[in-house]
Amino acid sequence: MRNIYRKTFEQVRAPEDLWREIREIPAREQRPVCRRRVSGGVLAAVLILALTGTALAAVYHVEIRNFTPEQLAETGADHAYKVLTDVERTPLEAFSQEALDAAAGAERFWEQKFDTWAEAEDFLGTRVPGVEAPATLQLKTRNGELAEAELRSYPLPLQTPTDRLNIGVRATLYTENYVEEPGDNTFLYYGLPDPNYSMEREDLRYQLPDGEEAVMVSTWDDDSGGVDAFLVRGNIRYWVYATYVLYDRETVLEEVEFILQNL
Amino acid sequence: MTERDFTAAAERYLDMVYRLALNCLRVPADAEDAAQTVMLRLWQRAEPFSNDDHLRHWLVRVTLNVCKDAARSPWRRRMVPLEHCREPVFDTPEHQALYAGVMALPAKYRLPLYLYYYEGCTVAEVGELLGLKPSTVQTRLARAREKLKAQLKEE
Repeated sequence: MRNIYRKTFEQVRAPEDLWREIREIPAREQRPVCRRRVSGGVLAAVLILALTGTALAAVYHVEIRNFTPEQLAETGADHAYKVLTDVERTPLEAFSQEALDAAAGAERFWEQKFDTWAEAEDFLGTRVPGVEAPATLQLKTRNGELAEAELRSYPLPLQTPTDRLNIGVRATLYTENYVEEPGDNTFLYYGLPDPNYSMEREDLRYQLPDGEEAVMVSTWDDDSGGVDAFLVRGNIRYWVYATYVLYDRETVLEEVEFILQNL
Repeated sequence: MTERDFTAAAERYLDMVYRLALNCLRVPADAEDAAQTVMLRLWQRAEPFSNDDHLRHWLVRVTLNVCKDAARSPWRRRMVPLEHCREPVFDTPEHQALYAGVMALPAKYRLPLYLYYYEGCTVAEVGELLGLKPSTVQTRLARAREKLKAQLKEE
């Protein structure tokens, strides 16, 4: 048994993607944060973009499409759905030169932590309303050019592993270099303990004060759960997500709604 | 930790961290995330390691803790492009079947098996790493072998 076990697991190796990310850790973690103020011209352009986004807000939508049993079998997941959005692509000219340079210098992706969301937004050079909390900016590249920019933040001051609630906010922008369908992603749920285990799910549509509509998928079992909320605003796809253990589901939904209202 | 030390540690132990995480979490993408978190913690660690054994032991412990955090909820969810739902590929059908059999076992059996058979830990060491009595480790190893044999016979 030991022999065949060893020979089997000798063939399980860290994939090349993971190796690349690990090799980038020293450079990524040492790189100083470059801060840049947005110029007046950019601000004016940004304001127009923001106004356009608001005016058209109602036309953007999110669709949740459940997997068929056949599709589920292909993935090996226990439960799955696909999120489809009509988020627009962002032209490369909308980003700062620093952001474009950072992406160009990265092999696959570039990541930097910032003290605030606003600083990360400044660095990116384009308007992405977010939350008041430290943020991480991740730029993904394709053929040396920016394909996807994502701002991530955890707005709750509860981040230790023992905490019962975690909330994250991600705002993603896609450029013309992004090869897949922008804003479309699949959610896979693994590890449901047994066939009789029941995970409840409720999909909710949440109307924001200015007419925008977010879709929230709430999943839960006896003592834990998650909420995934999606909102498209022009060229930005927001994903607000919460996971909780021994926490009130209604309270978590309210927290997520509060964040959506303030984006 | 210097960049050189970090790179050397990654080359020596990244596969181990990844395999251990895969045995804990079962899903390759989750294992990749966990391995990345572990290596980031290694890079951020200020205190030096007294020797290679110390480093290896620390990596195993941190990997188990990171995986425990990731698996707190009875289910886990991931947002991925579909083509990223990949499984390891093996040379022979026997190895593929053994891997599938191991992954079908509950985590409480997979981990002792991996630490004992692959990492060469003694029963006492496996118990210390997993917070189990040696007698419990022995029982789990025996049950894991039985279950695995039964599964492989079924196929």
